[in-house]
Amino acid sequence: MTYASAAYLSALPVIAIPLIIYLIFRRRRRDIPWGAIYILRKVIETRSRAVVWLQYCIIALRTLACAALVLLFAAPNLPREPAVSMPDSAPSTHRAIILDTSESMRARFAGGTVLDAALAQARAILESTQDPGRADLLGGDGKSLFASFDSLPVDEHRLEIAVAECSERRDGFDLVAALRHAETLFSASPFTRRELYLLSDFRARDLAPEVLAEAAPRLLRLRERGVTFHALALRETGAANFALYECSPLEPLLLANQPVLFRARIGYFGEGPTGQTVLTVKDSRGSLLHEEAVTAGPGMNEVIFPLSLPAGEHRLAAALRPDTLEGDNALERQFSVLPGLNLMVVQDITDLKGFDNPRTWLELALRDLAGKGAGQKVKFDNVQEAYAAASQSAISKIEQGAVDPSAIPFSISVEGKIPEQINPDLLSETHLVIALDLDQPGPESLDALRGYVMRGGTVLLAPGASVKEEHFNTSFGPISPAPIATPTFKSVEPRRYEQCMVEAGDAAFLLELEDPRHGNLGAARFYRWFNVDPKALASEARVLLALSDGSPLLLERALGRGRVLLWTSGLGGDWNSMVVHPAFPVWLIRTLQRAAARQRLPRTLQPGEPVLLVTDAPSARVIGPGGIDEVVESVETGSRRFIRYDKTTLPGQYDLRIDLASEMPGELFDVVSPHPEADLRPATEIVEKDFADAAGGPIHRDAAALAAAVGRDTPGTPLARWLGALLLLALVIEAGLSRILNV
Amino acid sequence: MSTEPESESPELLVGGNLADQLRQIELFSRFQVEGIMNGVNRSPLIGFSTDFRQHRQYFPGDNLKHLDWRIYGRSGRLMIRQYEENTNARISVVIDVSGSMNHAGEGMTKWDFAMRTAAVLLHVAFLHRDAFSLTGFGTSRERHVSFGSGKTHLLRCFRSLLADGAEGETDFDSGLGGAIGPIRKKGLTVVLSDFMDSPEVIANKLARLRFQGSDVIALQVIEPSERDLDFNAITRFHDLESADVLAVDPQLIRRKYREAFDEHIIALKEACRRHGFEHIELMVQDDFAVPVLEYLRWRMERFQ
Repeated sequence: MTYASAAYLSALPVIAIPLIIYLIFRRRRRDIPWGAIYILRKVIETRSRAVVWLQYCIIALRTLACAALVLLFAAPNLPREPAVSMPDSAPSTHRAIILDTSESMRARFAGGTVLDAALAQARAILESTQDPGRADLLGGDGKSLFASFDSLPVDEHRLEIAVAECSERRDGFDLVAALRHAETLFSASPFTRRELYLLSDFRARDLAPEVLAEAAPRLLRLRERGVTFHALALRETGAANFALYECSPLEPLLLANQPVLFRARIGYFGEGPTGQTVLTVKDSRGSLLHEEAVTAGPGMNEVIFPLSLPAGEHRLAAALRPDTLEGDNALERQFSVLPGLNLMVVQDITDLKGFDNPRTWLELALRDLAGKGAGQKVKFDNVQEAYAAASQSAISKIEQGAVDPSAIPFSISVEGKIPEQINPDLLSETHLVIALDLDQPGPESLDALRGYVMRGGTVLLAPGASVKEEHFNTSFGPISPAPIATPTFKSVEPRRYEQCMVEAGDAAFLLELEDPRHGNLGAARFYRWFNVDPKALASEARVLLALSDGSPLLLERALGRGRVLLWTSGLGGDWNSMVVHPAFPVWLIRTLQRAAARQRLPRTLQPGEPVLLVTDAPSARVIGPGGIDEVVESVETGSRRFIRYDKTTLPGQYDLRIDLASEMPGELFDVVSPHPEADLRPATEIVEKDFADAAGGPIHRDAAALAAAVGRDTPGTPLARWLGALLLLALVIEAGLSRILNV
Repeated sequence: MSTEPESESPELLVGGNLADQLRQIELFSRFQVEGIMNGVNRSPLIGFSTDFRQHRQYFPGDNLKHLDWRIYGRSGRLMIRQYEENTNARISVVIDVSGSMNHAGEGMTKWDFAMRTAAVLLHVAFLHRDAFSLTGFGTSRERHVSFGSGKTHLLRCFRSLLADGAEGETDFDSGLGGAIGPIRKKGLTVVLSDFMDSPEVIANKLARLRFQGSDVIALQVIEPSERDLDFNAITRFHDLESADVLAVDPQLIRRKYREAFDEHIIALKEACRRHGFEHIELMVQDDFAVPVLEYLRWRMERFQ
């Protein structure tokens, strides 16, 4: 038995009113002396028993009439026969279907995708909706209304169009928003019966606690408004899915043919303890760069693999072997590989020769790296090996007489300049500026250096023995991390030295160099250095390396988008043994790499991060996911112009074309996707039970269960007429009996 | 409002204006009565009064002064002239003194009403020098005051009425039978009761009087609330004559009760009609004299 307005059943206690009235009057007895007892006795003898039964009949009839009246308001219907297929709707029914069209619904099984099954079920529901009534097909994002059928039965052509549109949609699934949408629809519905269907795969993320907490009151409100809710979970057991979340280098800067470790973040969501897949990385021409079998455990996994790329722009495509859900298995990323790094050494004219000149040590260290042309791996213990391999490769190619341009290793150019030569144009192509033993550059040089730093450049200040500290502080005070004071000792004593240690805990590459197994940076000896008062640090300055007596050795100051470093012990071999330490060239090139990386704008962005492109063009065309196609004007900052595009909430590829009319791809940027759909783990039974409690019914596992439940809830033959007749009959009989009793 | 008979003086039962009104009332039998004095009632005896009635043959020993000499002169036959004789009546007032007469509505009880009505009847009989008696009955004859006349006798009857209230059970077979049993001579018998018994039993008892030639008036005293049974809640009705209690929902039997009450009255009336005596319903009301006087006036106009 179903009820159209079950709330009226709460009034059922009124059926006790006749009995209560009878009992109340029965209790209120009174005593009266009576003379005509002869007549009274005669009447009672003949009528009493019949009258009592008649009275009981009247009470029963009144009770029956009350019950019939209450039931008439509740509008009961006879239960239907158990339904195998989706039963036809009752008259005046408004059916709304929330269809989950999120990515996870693309999960493929033997019989097709989950979305195919959901669409088939939606079609069955729509086709079984009878006139008078209405049927709506809503998106799971809470915004989309795919189709609305006012005239029933549904038009086949329109239904086909709606189904085709749904199969192409890739909206998110927001249960709360979808319920809100349905609530709005039903609030304006003139139909007496309202049914809401939710067709989804009901993954764990769909019914997360915060979602359920917000959805439960809405479900309750819908139920209070008489909406019957049916949920069908479309999924198969044993689903396992891999998702590729990211594939990026660990180093911030890629150099030509420098082996760099890449990290692929792979998610595994399955019921088994582990799953196996294959990771492949290809370049834009389809050449396989890396292939690796991966055994992943539940949740997030990381795969580290080396890649060496030639100079130029590269678009790498990483993919996992196809599995249940293909949409999250592949990604593409854009990388710029630099052919070399430019280091500018600014030094006053000096007559120092050989190893007396600190520049000699620098050139020696960097020339050695560039000459061997190897590049390096991330770990210090791999540096020598990587260098050797790269050198061997280069030598082999040269011996073969065919030098492939793509095999040319990266180079580091060291350019020496005097302060007077420094200007912004010269600095624009420089990745790192080392101010060597410089204490009184001209104001124009200082302005150029300051502008260079503000735009993202890095300057390493390395005052040496020839520097007057007062001159240095006067000249570089505005950009230096701290003023320097008189050197600690007047001369170098071989037995009097300090060692260095990392002061900044977040400087990962310095910590690595400090490790005895890698660079053993602490083995270097420092005999003299400029005193720096740690309390006199400029704002946004910090100590990266400090000596064992606490004196700062390497300081860093953030200035604008760039950095200013201060090395207090001189870069030559006079005051320390750092220049002959094995970690010196590594530290130098890492510093150079980081400085260069800071000048590069990121190509892989998080959602919401702005796309930035330095260009002289006045505008650029942005083509992005979700149909984004708009022209963005450039903005001028200082001496440079930028294109800035902020609407990057949608994951995907953003193409910035300087040539507005061009059909060829321009600068490509990628906004990473969190792939929420990848987690195919089903909601737990406890969560489903919570949902079922709020929804007033279980989440059905298959179409047959849904059809049976709908059949149970769909009213059968309405009993209103019978109840009306019963009520009338009861009232007539009651009136007749009351008349007999003259009540 | 019910009155306390004991607090009343016998003279006050009928006095003042009511006594004046009663002087114009005559209480007579519709039939011949056997009186011993001249009065307003026709005697069954043929006398020699002023109203000629018939002639009859002369028998030796008849007083010659009653011979009709004119007939003798015309026909030679000896005929005696006979005249009707008016005499005083023997009026018996029989009153129900059972407990059921204590039923009261919003005013006086049935007993008060019946007692005062009886007093009126006795006073009328006294005014016309009729012989009157008073007899009560319950389960037997009670409070009997034999025939007599005069003021003293009237006061004796009044005292008897005022002496005790109504109480005890009633039995029309033995009680009414005992009350009317000693009445041998033709006269007028007025029975005041609520007649709560089988109409046939009552009528059969009274029929004996009628058979003797007496005129009988059955005055049925009815309290209106007794007929209406106008109660809503379940009520315990206590029998005024016994300890019986009947718990009844009046709503359920009201209609049938009223029908039964009316049927009882109709049956009684029909039985009385069949046996040739009057049945009068007297509704209890505060001004008790009104219905009684109305009836007596009506009767005087109807039968005189």
